[in-house]
Amino acid sequence: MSAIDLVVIMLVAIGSAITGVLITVWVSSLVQAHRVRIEPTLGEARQAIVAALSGEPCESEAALVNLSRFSERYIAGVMLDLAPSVSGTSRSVLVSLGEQIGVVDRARTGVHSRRWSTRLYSARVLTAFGVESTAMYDLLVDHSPEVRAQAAAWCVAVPTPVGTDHLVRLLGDPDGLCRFAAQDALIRIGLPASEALIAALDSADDAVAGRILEIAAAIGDDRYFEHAGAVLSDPSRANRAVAVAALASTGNRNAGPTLVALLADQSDDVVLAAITGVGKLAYWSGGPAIEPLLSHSSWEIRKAAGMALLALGAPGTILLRADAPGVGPAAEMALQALQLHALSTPEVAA
Amino acid sequence: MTHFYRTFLMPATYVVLAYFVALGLFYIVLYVSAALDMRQYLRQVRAEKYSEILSSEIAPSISMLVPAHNEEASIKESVRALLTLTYPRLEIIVVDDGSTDETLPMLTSTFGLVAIHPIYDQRLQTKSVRAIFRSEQYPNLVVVSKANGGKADSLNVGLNISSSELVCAIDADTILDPDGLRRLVRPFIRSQDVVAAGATIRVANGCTVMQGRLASERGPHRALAGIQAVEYLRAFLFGRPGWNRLGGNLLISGAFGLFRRQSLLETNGYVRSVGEDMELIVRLRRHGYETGQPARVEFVPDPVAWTETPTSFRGLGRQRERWQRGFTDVLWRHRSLLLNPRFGVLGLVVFPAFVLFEWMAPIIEIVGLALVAAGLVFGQLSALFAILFFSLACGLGILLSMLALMLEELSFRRYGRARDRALLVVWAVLENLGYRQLTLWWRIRGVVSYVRGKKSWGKMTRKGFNPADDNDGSIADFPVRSPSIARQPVGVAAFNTSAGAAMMGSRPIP
Repeated sequence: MSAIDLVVIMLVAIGSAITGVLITVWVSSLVQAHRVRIEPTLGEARQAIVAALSGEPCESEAALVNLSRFSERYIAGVMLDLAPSVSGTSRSVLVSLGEQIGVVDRARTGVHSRRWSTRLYSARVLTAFGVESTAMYDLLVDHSPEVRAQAAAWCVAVPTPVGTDHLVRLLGDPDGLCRFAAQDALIRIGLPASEALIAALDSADDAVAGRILEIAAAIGDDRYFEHAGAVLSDPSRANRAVAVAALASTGNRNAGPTLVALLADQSDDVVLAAITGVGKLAYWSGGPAIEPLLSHSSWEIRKAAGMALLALGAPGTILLRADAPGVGPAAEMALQALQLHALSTPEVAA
Repeated sequence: MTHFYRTFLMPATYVVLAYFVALGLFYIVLYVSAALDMRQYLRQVRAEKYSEILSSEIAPSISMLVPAHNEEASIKESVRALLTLTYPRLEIIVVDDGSTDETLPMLTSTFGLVAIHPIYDQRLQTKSVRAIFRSEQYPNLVVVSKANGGKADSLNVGLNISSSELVCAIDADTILDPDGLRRLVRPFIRSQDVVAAGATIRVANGCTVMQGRLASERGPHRALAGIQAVEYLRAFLFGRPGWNRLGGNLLISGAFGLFRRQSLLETNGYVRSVGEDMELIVRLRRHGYETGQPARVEFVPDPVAWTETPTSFRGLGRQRERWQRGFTDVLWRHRSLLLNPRFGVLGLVVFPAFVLFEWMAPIIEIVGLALVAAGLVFGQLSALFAILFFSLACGLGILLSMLALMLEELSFRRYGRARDRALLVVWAVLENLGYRQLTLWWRIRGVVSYVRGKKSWGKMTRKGFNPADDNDGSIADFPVRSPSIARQPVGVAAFNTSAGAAMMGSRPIP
């Protein structure tokens, strides 16, 4: 075979490949054109569903008739678009429509699929509709992290003690997306999750304990006070710091003095969290303990001290004014904090 | 002379042909990798609403850093568009880099700016900050007025002032998808090792823009912009996702990239250079290896930033020359990475591939062109063979572009109209007939000007997104507003770099 023959063969191969690609693009364009064509009708179907959500049975019938003209893929798309925007009775009507059309049943079956993408999609459908399904608990330990994360999101839509326990276990998941989904779900569930979280705190490793305390800081339940206090002796600086944040958010009457005591901690992270906590609680009697920190070697701590003193109101401002005329880092930070105060308070600025 | 050809030029021809085959194989691997990555991504995001992130208390906070210099024509619209982005913990920091026009007064009057006095740590040395303002109407909008110091300096000021976990660097004239940030933040949630994530850049020429938002997503109807649209698709749907599985990306578009702020501060932020965006990514990844902390760079194909491209050959030529100059600069600065096992896959795979298949491509293509000419002159190559080989190389180029168009068709299909998509096919064919030869010339000029020591950015005048406008990309010395090097469609740029392919010229690399 000559070189020219070889090149000709390659040319034919490339030409065939280009033809194949063009045919694929063309067929795909036809599918897209079909979608564009049915869009107005799909809009009508969407309107019919919205009308049906008012709860009138006749409207539901009309919606069903409208929807039956489309393939399940389109119907599911329309319903999934609407699902996050409705709740209460309207949600029930939507779920009922979904069940009559078969979208929900198919999703219930889909969570058992061997394909992770089908399980994921089905889990999203069940989450959007807020439909109960015991199979979803199995997905919390699915081998696909995407599926586990979606199952965690479902636990918010259908909160149960079993789901909460699973979510707490997911806090130790190796995949970041799952941990994020579990943390987010537990924060959304809020107070009902506290009991399981407190129970898990005692046996949790450092990383999980830190995440639990982050949730505690977001929930702000007084029940965490004692348990967060116990973590204050933890060797992990990060955990101590997040425990301080959790402590501050409980609003417990003993939180202020505890935070003031922590201002002398060896770790800058803990001191930073304690200063922020004192400011957040507006625990004005902690002002004199914070004031010396204006000259701390860490810029972050100096800034936090300035901000906290501002947050304490008049008692803090007096301390800042006392420091401002001097020289050195404390005076500089006090001055900056006071300037910030002046700019944010028009009457002071005037 | 024939003896000379057989002794010296023939072996060189074989070397160039071997390069051509290697390049072809490399792109096959890249395409397969990209297709697999896209398939997995599309399955992951099917029916995903991102509503959890939107209302999450623990979503990472983001600061958008928007450097602006003499942007009075478009700044209002750009900022308005940014304010419509849907992300829960978002701060927008516009850094006015010593504008001499009405940029700052316009921002002040439009958004009700009042002076504030944030206490911030000047971790990075920058030009002096004159004043900082916050909007009374939009509390998450901060405007910084500073002395002129260039784009990198402006971004560093933004880094100093920002207190968010993540920072997003964009060009002031870029239009983002409203939910783009929610999509782009996923890699950071997924892994603490991710230090940067990049998104797709598309050509906005032909689109209708109203109040800073895209009213219609249309493909360009003019040849030059259309061909660039094909180039961008090839780079962002084919090249970048492909690298996700082959050792990570080496560049992220400066027009839309998300970074972990702490990592940027640890590596001293942005450095003023022609290829600052790519330089930053290489430095981040290198720092990761040097400190033993993994530093991954991810590409997410879904979020899109729309940008205008030059519509005159003069402007385009200057842009491509600048890209190549910046690309060369980055490779030279970090030459110690090349084949250095200390830097793992970065030193042994990614960096060498960029040198071999991106930077060297136009040079080898020129050599190939000369060899073909010599072969014809010495009678060692028949005209028929040369023509056939030209067609082969041309066909391969078209096939690559078509594959990118197929990926677009089967995935996001952002250009909704059939006519626009059909036009893209036309541009994909036309690209190989003249356009690529021109880009080869521009890129060679870029290397030469770098060798001669030219380091300035050049000025690019933009006229806004009005479809009636004709952006000529005119250039003069001007530090801030030039398009970023990383916006370039590097990734699947250079192909057909063989003796035969050389006859057609090269694709634009950086």
